[in-house]
Amino acid sequence: MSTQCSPCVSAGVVCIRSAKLQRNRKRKSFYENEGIEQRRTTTTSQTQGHSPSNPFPLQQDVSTSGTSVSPSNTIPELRPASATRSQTTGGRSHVSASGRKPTSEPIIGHMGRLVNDDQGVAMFAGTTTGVHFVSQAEQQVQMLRMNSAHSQFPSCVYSLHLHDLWGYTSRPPSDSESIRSIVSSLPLDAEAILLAAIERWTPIYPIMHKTTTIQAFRALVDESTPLTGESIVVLHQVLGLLALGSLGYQGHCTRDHYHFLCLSETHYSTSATILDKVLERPCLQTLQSLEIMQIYLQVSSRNTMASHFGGIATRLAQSLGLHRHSHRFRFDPLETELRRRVWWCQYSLDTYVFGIALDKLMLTIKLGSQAHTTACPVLFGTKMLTQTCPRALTTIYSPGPTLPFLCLVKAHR
Amino acid sequence: MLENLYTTTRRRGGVAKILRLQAELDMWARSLPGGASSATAGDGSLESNTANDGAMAPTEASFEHSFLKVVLCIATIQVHRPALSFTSPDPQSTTSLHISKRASATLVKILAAGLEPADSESHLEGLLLSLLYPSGAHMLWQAGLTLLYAHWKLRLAVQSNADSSISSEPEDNETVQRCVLALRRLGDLTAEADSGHRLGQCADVLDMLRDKTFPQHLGTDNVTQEASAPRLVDGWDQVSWNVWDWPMESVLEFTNSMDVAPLDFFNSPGLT
Repeated sequence: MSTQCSPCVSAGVVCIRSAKLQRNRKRKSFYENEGIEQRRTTTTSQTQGHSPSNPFPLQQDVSTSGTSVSPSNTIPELRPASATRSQTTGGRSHVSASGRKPTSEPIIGHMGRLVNDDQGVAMFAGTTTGVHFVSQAEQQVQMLRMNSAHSQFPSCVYSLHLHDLWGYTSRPPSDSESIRSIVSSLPLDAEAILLAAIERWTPIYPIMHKTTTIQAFRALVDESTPLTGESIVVLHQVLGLLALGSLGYQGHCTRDHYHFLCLSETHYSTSATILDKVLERPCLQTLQSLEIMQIYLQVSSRNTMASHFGGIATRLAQSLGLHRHSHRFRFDPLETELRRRVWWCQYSLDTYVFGIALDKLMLTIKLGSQAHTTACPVLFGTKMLTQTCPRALTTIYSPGPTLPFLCLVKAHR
Repeated sequence: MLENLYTTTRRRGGVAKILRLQAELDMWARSLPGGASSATAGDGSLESNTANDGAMAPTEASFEHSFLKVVLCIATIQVHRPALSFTSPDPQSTTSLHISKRASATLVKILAAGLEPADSESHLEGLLLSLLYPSGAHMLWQAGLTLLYAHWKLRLAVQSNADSSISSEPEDNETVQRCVLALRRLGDLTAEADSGHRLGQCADVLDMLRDKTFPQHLGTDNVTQEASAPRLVDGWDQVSWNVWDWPMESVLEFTNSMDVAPLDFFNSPGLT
């Protein structure tokens, strides 16, 4: 062996990795701590300050470093070694993740996964949905080589709990006319108001990505661009941003008072007419829209409504898997960062419900501080962050406008 | 009640949690009307009184009675399923496998009885039983899968002489067949082309696995049965419960990093 694998290097043990690829073997499990423990006892002089009771300092480093995200913290240690294990014979006597303790105690190893719903949106399937059990069964089928023609289970078996048996969600949307009608009544300077609203609220609630939002808006108002299933959600986002961006404007109000909500209410009322359609499309964009609405409902003193929207939004955030660390999933850099920001925005919004109604506190008490593992959003702005922008390139940019928001996030953590 | 068992931060002490929860389930089951406790005996014994329980159609047993039994079955499955994901072998895993298998069989019988051809009123209640939380098409399918999974695990244990008990194959084969038929029936009743296709696809998977698991020509000759049963592949750990030996291929890999454990996996402070 010319090189050692990174897990063994970090643990300070002799690497027994074999370069021989064995296609029919199981993929090497990074968490074979039994083997590492045995090798550590024979090379104690090579350990470098790692406690025997803690054979996975890398994982702890990752977990503790989750509070401060650095673009250089690419955490390569989480990726498995490229080579498969060298020994997979039945003679292995220790296949136990609990072997690191003198007394063997089984650990519950189930884990939730993302599965696509009927609309192709990735939804988090917790272990209570049975997704982990199904994957275990799939593993058994492959190990037993029960069906060589099709070794994988079809995706439908994993998302059966999300499947709409009656087909309502898969029907083509019938709201094109209403969307076009609402779009035609938008103010002429709507794009400017959107930009101003995003810039105004990003420092404390970086819910929206400016470039993506403006592009979606332009596509929405362009009559030559066909409407999609997400058009209704984009429209709801636009109306919410217009409501926030129109605070303090008179509009057509003729009353003699301080005009705070006069113009904003028109946009909010319009958004309320399409809310049911929006809720039928659970996705990240819908969650963003709900967060915008919560902010407006707060400033318009509709506290109960804000709390109710918060409940819907919180449940949706968990359904989308935003409460789980981004390394679990495969999203592009832009979506990864957006997911983090949207999660922490909702966390903040839910936390502040505490000041209104203690019994309605959901995330901060129900989940607890350890039940969500979402990393902090990044410090810099997302102007240059694209779907294909590698994480490493983001180190050159100066801190963006989200610094106040990050201060709030750290306070929550 | 299940929060402690499905927590992501305290993954140890699973055996104690399961035993405690099963005891609470037993207490709750004894309070149910109609002797629903016979559906899932928590003592791990294979003796079951479910021969008649699951065969009762909703019209014979009240809808509420059937619903409570469905809830009990699913709660039992949820309590014992984490034991199937233990990262190291433990006697509780085998016990939980037996209990899950029995609860799954009962669940299939109840839901299948409600979906079998009958008058429209029975269809309505049968559909309600299959659709109301905590039930669902996914629970019906997973119940059938649990029966097969139990056979794979227990049969391998027999081959390794680790466990000499194995349930009757013809009865389980028939139960899985009923599960397949119930899924197809559910697809027909929902009457949407895509839904029927989706459920039909799931039923096909289950039927294929059933055909591979239970030899077509079941006889009294053990040699014939063993020759047709799934065999160990070379070098595979016979009692490998290690969940982190992921399969080579899975549709889950598309959106999930299959090689990454959750960061909270190692945050467990110890026994709770």
